Amino acid sequence: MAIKTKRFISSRKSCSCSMPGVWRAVAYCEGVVVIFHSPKACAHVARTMDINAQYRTIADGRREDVGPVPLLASQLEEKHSIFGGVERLEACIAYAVQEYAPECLVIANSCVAGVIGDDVESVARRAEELYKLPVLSLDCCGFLDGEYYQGYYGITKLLVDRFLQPLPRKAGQVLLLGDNGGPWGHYAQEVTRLLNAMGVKVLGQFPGYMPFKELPKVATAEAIIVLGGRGQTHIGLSTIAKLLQDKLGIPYLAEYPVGWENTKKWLVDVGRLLGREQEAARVLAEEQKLFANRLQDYLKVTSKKKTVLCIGRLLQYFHPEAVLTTIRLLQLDLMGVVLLNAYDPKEKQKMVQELGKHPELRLYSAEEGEALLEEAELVLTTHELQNKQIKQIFLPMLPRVGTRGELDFMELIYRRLCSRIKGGLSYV
Amino acid sequence: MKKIAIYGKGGIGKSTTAANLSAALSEAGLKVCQIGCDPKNDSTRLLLGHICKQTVLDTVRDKEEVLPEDIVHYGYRGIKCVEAGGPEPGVGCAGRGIIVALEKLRELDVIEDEDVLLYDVLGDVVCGGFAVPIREGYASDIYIVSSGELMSLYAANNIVKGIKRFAQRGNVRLGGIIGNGRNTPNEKQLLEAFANSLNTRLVAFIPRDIVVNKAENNRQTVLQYAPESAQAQVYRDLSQIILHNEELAIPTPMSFEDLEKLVADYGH
Amino acid sequence: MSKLGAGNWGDVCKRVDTCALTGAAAFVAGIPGTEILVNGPLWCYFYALRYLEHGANGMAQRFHGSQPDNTAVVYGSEKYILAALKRLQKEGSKPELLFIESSCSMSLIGDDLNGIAAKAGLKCPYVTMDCGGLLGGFVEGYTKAALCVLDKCLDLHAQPQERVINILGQTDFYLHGRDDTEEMVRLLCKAGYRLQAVPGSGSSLEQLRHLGNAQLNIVTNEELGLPLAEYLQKRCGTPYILAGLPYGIAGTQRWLEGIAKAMPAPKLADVYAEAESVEEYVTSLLNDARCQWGDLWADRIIISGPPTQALCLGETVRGEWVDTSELWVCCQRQLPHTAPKAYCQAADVIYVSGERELPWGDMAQFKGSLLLLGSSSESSLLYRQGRTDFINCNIAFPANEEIFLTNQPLVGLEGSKQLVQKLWNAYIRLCIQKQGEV
Repeated sequence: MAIKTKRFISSRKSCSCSMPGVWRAVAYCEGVVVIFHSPKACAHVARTMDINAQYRTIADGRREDVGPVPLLASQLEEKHSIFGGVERLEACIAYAVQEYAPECLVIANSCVAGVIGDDVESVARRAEELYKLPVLSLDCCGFLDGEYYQGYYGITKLLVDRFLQPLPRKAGQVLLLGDNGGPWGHYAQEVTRLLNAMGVKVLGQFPGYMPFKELPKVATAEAIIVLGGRGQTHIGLSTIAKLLQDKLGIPYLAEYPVGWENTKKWLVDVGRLLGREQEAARVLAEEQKLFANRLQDYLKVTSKKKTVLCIGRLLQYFHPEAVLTTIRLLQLDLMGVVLLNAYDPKEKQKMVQELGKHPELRLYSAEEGEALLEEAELVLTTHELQNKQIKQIFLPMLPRVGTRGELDFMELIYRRLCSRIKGGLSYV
Repeated sequence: MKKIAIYGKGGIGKSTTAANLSAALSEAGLKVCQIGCDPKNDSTRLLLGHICKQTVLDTVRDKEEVLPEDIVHYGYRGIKCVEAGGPEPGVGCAGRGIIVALEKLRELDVIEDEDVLLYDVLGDVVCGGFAVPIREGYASDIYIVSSGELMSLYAANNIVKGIKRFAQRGNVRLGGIIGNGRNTPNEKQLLEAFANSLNTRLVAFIPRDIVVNKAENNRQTVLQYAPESAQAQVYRDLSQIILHNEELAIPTPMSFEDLEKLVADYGH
Repeated sequence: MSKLGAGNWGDVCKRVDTCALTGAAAFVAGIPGTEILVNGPLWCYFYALRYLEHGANGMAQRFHGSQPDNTAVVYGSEKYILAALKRLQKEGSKPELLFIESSCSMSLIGDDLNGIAAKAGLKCPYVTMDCGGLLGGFVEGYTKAALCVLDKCLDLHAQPQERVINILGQTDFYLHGRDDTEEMVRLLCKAGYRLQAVPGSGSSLEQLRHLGNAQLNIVTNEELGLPLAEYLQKRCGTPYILAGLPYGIAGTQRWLEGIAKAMPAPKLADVYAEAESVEEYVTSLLNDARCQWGDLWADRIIISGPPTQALCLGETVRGEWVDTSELWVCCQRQLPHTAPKAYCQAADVIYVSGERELPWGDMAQFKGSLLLLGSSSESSLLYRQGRTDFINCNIAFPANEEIFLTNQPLVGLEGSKQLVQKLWNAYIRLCIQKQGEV
């Protein structure tokens, strides 16, 4: 019998929604009001994302001290799908202007608005004229014309195009570009820690986390540090970074410090970018010392432990290299890599090809892999598996970064191997 | 209850045919309900004597609670008339409108003891919404109104593609082609050949007659305006054929090339 | 440009309601052995699934998605539905009933779900429905799905039988919904009634088929149950009573009295005896607690939740459990029929989402002691303002700061013990957290 994942998620394109992406691009930009031109229910996805992110921050021992900007929905109903929802949107804009006196309005379009063909761009232009304030709208409707990232990058590009102009740059301060849980999230916190250790300040996180009035300050950064990721995150953020470089002359670093090897390289590259090679070398030495000490502690438990890696995520979202490095550093005994039944043949081939760079790896199908799991002391997996008897560690879409991110991951593996409790799933 | 749907290219004479059919069926002693599925609201004009002012969708949009008396109107010989209604041109989604309107009618139980229910559907089966009358539980006998003009036949062939899809998984069938004369060369023969190619038949050929225009100008069906006319008898005959038609088929659409050739063969 | 619309806009980030897609699935998932297929975008499916997973175990094995690409809006979703149905058949899925629902964009294009399901040659009974956000939120989905399912299965020839009742308006997907159902059933059966079914909360399709056996329908959560009650009155002639929810000991007795007026309960005294015993037990323990910790007092109590629940709870919190200067009750939506005051006279202010919003933004300025009975949606707003010094007790989803492994009804006599225990323990923890601040 094949290994069964808990949830069946088909690996096809265009599977998420652009509206939450639009929302996240400005969610904490004081002065902005966001309108979803959609049924009211669509907004619950954004709200649920907010609540979950806030509680993750609380779990990390931090507190979100800024709330999101107002989010309204034009609350399309059945009748609007028949007669058009433009008037409803206009009424919602009027309410937003009267109630919140925004400095900027941002409109996200739903798939419903796309299907009925509401001319939202015209409404936005008329509203700009009438209320004398910028109104951004995106020709991207729910899941119809793209996904989360189309919404996120589309609005970010509009912000850059309309509100950023070159200014004198200040040495020793950088801009963080991207989201990854915002300033309270692990990514921004770790990157900020490493930058501060080099004597560099963070002037803000763009987009999403700078008040609308302060957006021009983006142009004063000495450099941009991209809070990268895999796949579309990397492509999208690199594109925005390039746009900022072309328009404002700010250089950028778009590397992704996931895993120890990438973190070391990232430190060296940041030093080079900012002309702080010596500081970077000093910080790297300190990090290496910290890392080596902790690794020694873990190895007492992790060495030679039977481990299986289960992968079902597309290569563009999950590159196995960093996890394979962690496995090697912890001296885990990797019994095999199981490819779950979540791929179409083409995508599976891409992953097989990538894993082929390590000829020593033994690859298994989901059918063959079931027996392997019985022997494993630990399973690292991109998909939650139904088998509750095995110890699973879920490999997230956005792994933790930097030295602390890698050590947190190693610590989790260490703890799971120390654990006498059978089965269960842990999240990194 | 006999449930019939009339399809065909825009402007081909569907509503005129449907209204005259309803009138003829009513004359034959049957209780008839005609439902217009077109945002123009003009299907029942000839039965009501005016454009229907209160459509199902207008009422859904404007009122919290929709009552049967808001949307059911009575026309010539007490024929029950309902117009689905829909958006102004260029906005919203008319297809969705048809879905919502027909669901609302079902919810309100407004069709109870009619002998014949006749759906008059806009133009082509362009999307799922306009296909609703062909779905299971709505109409079972479908008729396509067409002239001998190429684009009318092309539209009819497209509609047949839609009918075939639904016929293969349910009880809906094509009853035949209703020829509506436009005085093109060999029109009746062409329509007969066309129908045969589609695995159906030409159930009637309605010749072009000025009395139809005169009746329309007076907001009446031919049966009301000129009951003794030959044209009125054509509609009466058609109503009897439709009522007793048992030659219902799963149609076979043509390729465009075959259709072009057919029209060319008869067009000389 | 249009003038202001009819209002009801509000900041949706101050409230949380799921989609009709979720509500419809919730009703069907409350019937054992059923499965659901959502025909809609991945995120619509996924967020519905994540919500449902909090209410019942194993939802991922019963709640499936067709996961169409964006091209489905142009070319139809038939191939995705057929592929999903094929996958289910291949996996050996044999549900008592398969419910197929389309999201709003998929409903718009008008794909013939019934026809597609017929084409798939399903061996099980199925019900199809156009759904999604255009229909509304959880409540609209729940009620429409309920009526669709009853249309399919209801036996119209059922005859009312003596002292048989149905409970209408329950769902397993309100917080502790199934536990509440079980406690109400326990109390009603103890009082001498015979239960036919609780649609949406544990009753089988076979039990639903014979809903017409009841002499009386008891509507609990009015927003969920009233449309069903009206439907059953129309189809089966069954009368109904809008009973609300039985919170607290005295509240439970009032609730039963109201039902008994509509249809006498032969063993009501048995429940009263239990109520008396519980009251004695709770009072003696609370007196002890007061001796150590003082009175349970809040300068302001805020209750926020589904409307019937929030209002009925408001009446009991102030009447039986906690003293306060002011009680604010926030209904997350309107009630379909009853004026809020009819359920809750104890409230100083009643807010209704979309009509009159509770001023969450002002909470930082309020310096008094605060008790919140709500969800993580409300507590998160307070945390952001730097307030953690309040007594917090979740009565609705989402409930991120708690896990629930045991049966914890909120209603009835068991629920009364549960809630009093929760409130007091939260209060005691707060005292410990605040030590040294005075």
